[in-house]
Amino acid sequence: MLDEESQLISRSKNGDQSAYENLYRANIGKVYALCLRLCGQKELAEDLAQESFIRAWQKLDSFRGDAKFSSWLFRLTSNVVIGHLRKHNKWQIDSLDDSNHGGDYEQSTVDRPFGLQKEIDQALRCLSDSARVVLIMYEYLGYQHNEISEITGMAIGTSKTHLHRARTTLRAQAEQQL
Amino acid sequence: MTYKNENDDKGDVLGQLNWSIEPDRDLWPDIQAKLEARSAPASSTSLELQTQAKGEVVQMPLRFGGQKPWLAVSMAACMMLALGAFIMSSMSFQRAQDTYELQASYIEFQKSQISLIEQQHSQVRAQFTALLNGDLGTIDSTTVAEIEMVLLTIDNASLELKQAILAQPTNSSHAAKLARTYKEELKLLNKFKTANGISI
Repeated sequence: MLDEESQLISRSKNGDQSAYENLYRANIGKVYALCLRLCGQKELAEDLAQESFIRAWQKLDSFRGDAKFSSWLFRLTSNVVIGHLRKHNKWQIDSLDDSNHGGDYEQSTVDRPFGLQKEIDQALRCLSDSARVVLIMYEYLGYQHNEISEITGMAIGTSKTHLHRARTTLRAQAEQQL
Repeated sequence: MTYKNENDDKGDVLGQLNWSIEPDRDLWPDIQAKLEARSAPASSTSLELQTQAKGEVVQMPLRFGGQKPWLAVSMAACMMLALGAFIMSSMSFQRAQDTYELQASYIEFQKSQISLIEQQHSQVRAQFTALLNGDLGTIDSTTVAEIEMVLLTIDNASLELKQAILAQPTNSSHAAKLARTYKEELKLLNKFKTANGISI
């Protein structure tokens, strides 16, 4: 599997778009899900997923293979999404004001949410863009606060506070559901 | 950084979410079209100088603020297109045959000019993209993302104009708009250069 992926990457680096299409097919589900959960809007998530794969193609030479391709791709994708959020002033790097709860986050980011997923998606909707992104970067992508700070531009303390508030909000939402 | 998603060691709450969702539509055709629109020509003739003395290939710097080789070409093309449009519009009915021939040659001229502009533009863009992806390490990722988004928007506009030219080859305004789009992009790159004090 890995050898096959390495070959696809190598061919893609040489400009083989059919090989890159295979990499796209193997990763689009996870990349799109990440975009969707970070930005909360289907159409925007599609655009950002597209942009991520275009950016990845352009930067493929910088992928050295010391991490998994998917890991490299996720990092790049989160950069693309955060860049978009910052560009559209949805990103308050110094503010801990969570008054923009939900923002443009759609009612349901998944077509057919089921069971707990629906509740968790609703809980994510209650978070500010900044808090949601910090939560996903920390809990799902495994970034440390200093890395989140580096990527997002927010202070480490702000990142920690956002994470704490996000976890508290999610727990409170979960308890309400029970 | 550790990637928890690879080890299924996600946060206790987020781990319960589905982290692989297929989008409603296949994004690949659009991605492929944009990759092809952004691809640069393999050869780079005007950027290299074969020095006669040593036989070495020297990379010539692009001069956004000084001479603008492809801008001059694009402006010349605009003028020629306008002239062509003027000539065609002033033709009388009795000279319909002449008009037809002139129109055919005009379209051919238009194609060749656009091809020339595109070639020059691709070279400038390729150089800039290489710098953006490599040497401009001092610029934060957000700025790079913004620039790339803007360039992508320009690419999309150019692509639509090219399609419009193919659909209406006798409509000179499409070609003029395309030339103007390239010109505006150069202005953008120039501003970027000035703002960041980059010498290219």
